[in-house]
Amino acid sequence: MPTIKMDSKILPILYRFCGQALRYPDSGWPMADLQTRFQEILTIVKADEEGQELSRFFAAEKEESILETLQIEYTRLFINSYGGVVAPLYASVYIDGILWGAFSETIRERYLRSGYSPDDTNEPPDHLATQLEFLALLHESGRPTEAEQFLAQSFRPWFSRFYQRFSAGNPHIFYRVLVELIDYLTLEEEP
Amino acid sequence: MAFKLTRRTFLQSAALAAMSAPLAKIAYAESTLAPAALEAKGTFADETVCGGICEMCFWRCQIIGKKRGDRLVKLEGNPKSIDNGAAICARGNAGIQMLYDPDRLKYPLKNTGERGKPVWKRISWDEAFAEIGEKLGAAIKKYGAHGLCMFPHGASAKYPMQFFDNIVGTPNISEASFFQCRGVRDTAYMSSTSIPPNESVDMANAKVIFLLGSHLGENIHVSHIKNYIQGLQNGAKLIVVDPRYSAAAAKSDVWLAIKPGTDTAFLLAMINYLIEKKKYQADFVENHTAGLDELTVGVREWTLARAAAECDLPAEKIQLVADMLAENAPNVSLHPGRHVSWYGNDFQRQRALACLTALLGAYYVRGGWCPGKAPKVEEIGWAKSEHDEKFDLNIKEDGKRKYPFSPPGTPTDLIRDTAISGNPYPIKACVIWGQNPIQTIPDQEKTKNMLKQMDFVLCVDIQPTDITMWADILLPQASYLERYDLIKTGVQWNLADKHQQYIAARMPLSPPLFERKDQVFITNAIAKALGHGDKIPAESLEQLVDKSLAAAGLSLSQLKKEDGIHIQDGKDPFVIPEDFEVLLFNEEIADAGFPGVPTYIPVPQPPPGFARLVYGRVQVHTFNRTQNNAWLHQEMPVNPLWINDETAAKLGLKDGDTVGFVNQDGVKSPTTTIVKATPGIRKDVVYMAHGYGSKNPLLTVGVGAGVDDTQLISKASVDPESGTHGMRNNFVQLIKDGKTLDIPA
Amino acid sequence: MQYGMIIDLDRCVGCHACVIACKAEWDVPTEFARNWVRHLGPAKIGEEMAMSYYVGLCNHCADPVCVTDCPGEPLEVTFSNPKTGEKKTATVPATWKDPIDGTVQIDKSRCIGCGACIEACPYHARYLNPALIDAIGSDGKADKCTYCKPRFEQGLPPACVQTCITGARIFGDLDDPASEVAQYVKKGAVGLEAKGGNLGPNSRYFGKKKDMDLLFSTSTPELAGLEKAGRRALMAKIMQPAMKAAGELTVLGLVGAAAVKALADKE
Repeated sequence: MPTIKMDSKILPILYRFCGQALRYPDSGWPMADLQTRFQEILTIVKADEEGQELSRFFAAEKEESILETLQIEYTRLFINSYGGVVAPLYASVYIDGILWGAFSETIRERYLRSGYSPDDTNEPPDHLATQLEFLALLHESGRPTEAEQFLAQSFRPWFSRFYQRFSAGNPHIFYRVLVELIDYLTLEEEP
Repeated sequence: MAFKLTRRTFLQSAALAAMSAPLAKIAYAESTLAPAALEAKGTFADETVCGGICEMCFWRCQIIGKKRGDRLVKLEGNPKSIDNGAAICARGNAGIQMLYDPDRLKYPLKNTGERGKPVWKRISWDEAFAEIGEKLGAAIKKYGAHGLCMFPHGASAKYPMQFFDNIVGTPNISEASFFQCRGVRDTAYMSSTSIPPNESVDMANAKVIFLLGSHLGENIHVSHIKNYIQGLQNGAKLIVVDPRYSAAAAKSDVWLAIKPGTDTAFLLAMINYLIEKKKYQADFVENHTAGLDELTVGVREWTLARAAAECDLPAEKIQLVADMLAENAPNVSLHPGRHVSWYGNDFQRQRALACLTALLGAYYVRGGWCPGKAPKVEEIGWAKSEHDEKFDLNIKEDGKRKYPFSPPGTPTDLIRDTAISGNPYPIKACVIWGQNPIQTIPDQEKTKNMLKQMDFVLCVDIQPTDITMWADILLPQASYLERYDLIKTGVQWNLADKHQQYIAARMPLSPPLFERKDQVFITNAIAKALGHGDKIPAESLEQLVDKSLAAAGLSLSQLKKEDGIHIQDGKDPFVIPEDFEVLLFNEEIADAGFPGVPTYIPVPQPPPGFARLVYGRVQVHTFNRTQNNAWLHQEMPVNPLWINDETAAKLGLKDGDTVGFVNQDGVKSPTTTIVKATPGIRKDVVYMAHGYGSKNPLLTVGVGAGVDDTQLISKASVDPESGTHGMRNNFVQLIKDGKTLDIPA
Repeated sequence: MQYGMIIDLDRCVGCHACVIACKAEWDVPTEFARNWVRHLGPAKIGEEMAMSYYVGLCNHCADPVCVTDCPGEPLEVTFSNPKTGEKKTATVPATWKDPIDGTVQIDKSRCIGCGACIEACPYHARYLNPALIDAIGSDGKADKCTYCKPRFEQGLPPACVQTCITGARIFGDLDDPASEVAQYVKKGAVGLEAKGGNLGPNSRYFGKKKDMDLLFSTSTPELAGLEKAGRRALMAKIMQPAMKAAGELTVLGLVGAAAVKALADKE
């Protein structure tokens, strides 16, 4: 069983960062910051092509139309879309084929066991961003082993299916980079 | 994608113990996926939430929810119910899948593409209301209130419909439940008995049950089906008149495979026979009817022999049925039907049924037509107002009504034709609320053309039905499990049991998920955006329901204490009101230029090589509304084509073959279905269930499953008295492997 | 005591409420079912037209062929009669016929998912539930109708019976002559016995002659190829020591089971 020990300070920050980037882009969204951070990350991991593609996108359009492009793309990818929604952000869709299925409950129980409870009852507890926040919390509270366990047993089984559906949906470079980064940060690395 | 660095390096954490067994041992020492999860827990030990009222169809069974944590895991009939009891049907049980369907609408959406080919963008409710206010406001300002039309359906559409009707002031509202379903039944009976009949037949205590083309058993309305089966268990004889060996026919004592469209001739022959042989209930006719003489003359031509020829039935079978009814009168249930917009001659047929029921004296008697005496609650809503008749499309230049016996609202085609032609005035804004006109109204192209010319289209629904592809703004509504709503009243399901009444209000079994909102929230915000904020009758749906309950001395909190249903003593229903009168001849109808006694009007016949397309229901679906429900889809994924087995053999078709369709207007079905070859259908008819073949790819389960019958119904036969749509005068050929097959006569 | 269920076809309208209620009650995956409704006809039965329903579920047979070859680890279990307090102890594999109430049950924690019992049942009343996975059963576990044992033990009707809108499903003790189910048997309710078999199905049907004829002529199953089921069970039995060893070797049961399966596939 391959496993990893990761930097306990930077990792939760990255998880939270990705979680924030997964929120619906609206006018209050830290667009410029997000762009800069993504470019920096892409430079560090030497994903030059993607870095260029991303900067071309941000350079080509006005801020307003950038936002609208991302809103339409977000709606298409994750909410509802003509042609079929590409990949909803909820785990149980990939395990139970339904929102708020038994798997959502399993995830929620995991949160509870670690002492966290989702505060929004209008939203199923198994949203990708919520799970990333949970991972961050585990690291921040010095429980990397629990985080590893959660990744292996709960997160990866659904995320890998999400990832496949997402990738097949011709996603926009911004979301491609984001999901790629999440995958990268949660994937078990080969030894 | 190429992330060319290992994560380790990326995280600057060199110390990574690769595949460390001890670490793994710690990591997996405690299994958190406990073995207990293997055995499903069952739901009986879960928390019970009361107060639900089902809306998987419109019968409104009273339900409870089983809740585990925040998740609703099961729905059951409310054991306190004196209507459906602890039982609910497949659809009711599958409400969970509706609630948590990932394809459902979650946030307000704006169409940034074109109508019919939308590109959706999530927007905030504030943005949505600002846009609706601007666009609807502009259309109303430019074209007047009548420049707006509305297609509403269901409990959630009532409050907004009242708003657009009473406050905005448009007469152009068309409900599918009236104009494509049961409206003609109601107006025909009102022209006969002054009362809409609903389905108030006391089948449980009948000696004979008579069903004319009914889908009982395929249309599952729980207490109604209980009633029907109880009648059969008690020994009632069942007569079923249907070109198809339906679920009801399968339980019948007499099945008459009538030629489609000729039902009225059949009824008139029975009326004539009963009058001629003096086999009618003379006392009832004397005391509670008017116009026997006119009726006698009017039906005289309909001898058994003539009807037999017209209906393609043996004369002695017609006589047998008439005798069965006469011998068991008045305790006979002549079912008024539900969906009866069939052939465009429906008003007269429904009148004939009402008059035949009168000859048999089967009103307000055991086993006959008899409405239970339900308790009253007050209807709170938008203040009423009168329309300017000038803009009523159903009023002709001479001041007379075009369709004098129209159900409430405006006949659908008056709206569609006016919108498309701009004559007599433009209709440029459209509000669609809980209805899916693509699958409810015949001639889909006409509907699309109407929508294409609009300045603004607003859709409100719980799910992305086909019509929502045509919206500019699409709003996500809370479903029946997520909101307060209508008050259901009624009596115990079997009229022979102790007389009881009940009052139940819909209460949410789950909070509304995502940003879904109820109809009062949405309508009030639209009202404010249009400058009508001062006329709002209730601040919330909860308050609206509470106000209505107050009239019955109840409140939501009281109902909650009573497990969701208030039960009180009832009244004896088997008492005929003194002034009850059935008009066998109706002068008003005659004065309007239509036959005043029930009259048979023949219908178009299939051209050579074609068969008539009739449609119906299956037990697990409520038309198109439930098509995306994964559990229900699993039970009946397509709508097989019923075709006579001998015809099928001649065409070289066998069970399970795949076929498509082309109709008399050259409209082809874009999808296919499978063949069900059976002796249980006439040769001049093919049949399929309605509601399949969704076009909207947002419905990932239901899209393209089976064939959409409505698409093949491109010809609408408008009933001349009522303006409702007859939809069974459409004819099809089959397409197999690209070849069109002529259906032999 | 022998629990049984009657399906009264005169009352049944084929509405599928029973199927969906069961799915919700027992977390049955969408594409599987513990019970089913198949629509039969319209077809000619002699000169008469008939249409009816095959409303199926586990028959909790008097002599079930599904339990005999189960390779699951045997365990001594004490069964008790809630009414009389009578107790019986028996050593049973992962699936068995309850010596007290006559129902056929599965212990998921001992089921290895070999599929022998699924193969053996002529009614196809069992299926492999892929959602149920653990160290000893990585392909899933056999699952089927339990007559809602956890519910009836609480005095509740089975979920399908409770939701049946016309009272077409009747549940009770066939050995109790006063029970409604026994009355139905007296009136002629019969089970769908497999061709050439003597299983003694305890889910029984009652209805008009033409409907019963339609049901029996279309839905009477052949006995399953028991050799195949036996082979499957035998194979699983042979693999068992290896599986156990692997289970002890690895802390990660899933990997162990998968390895054993790979081994089995190779052979």
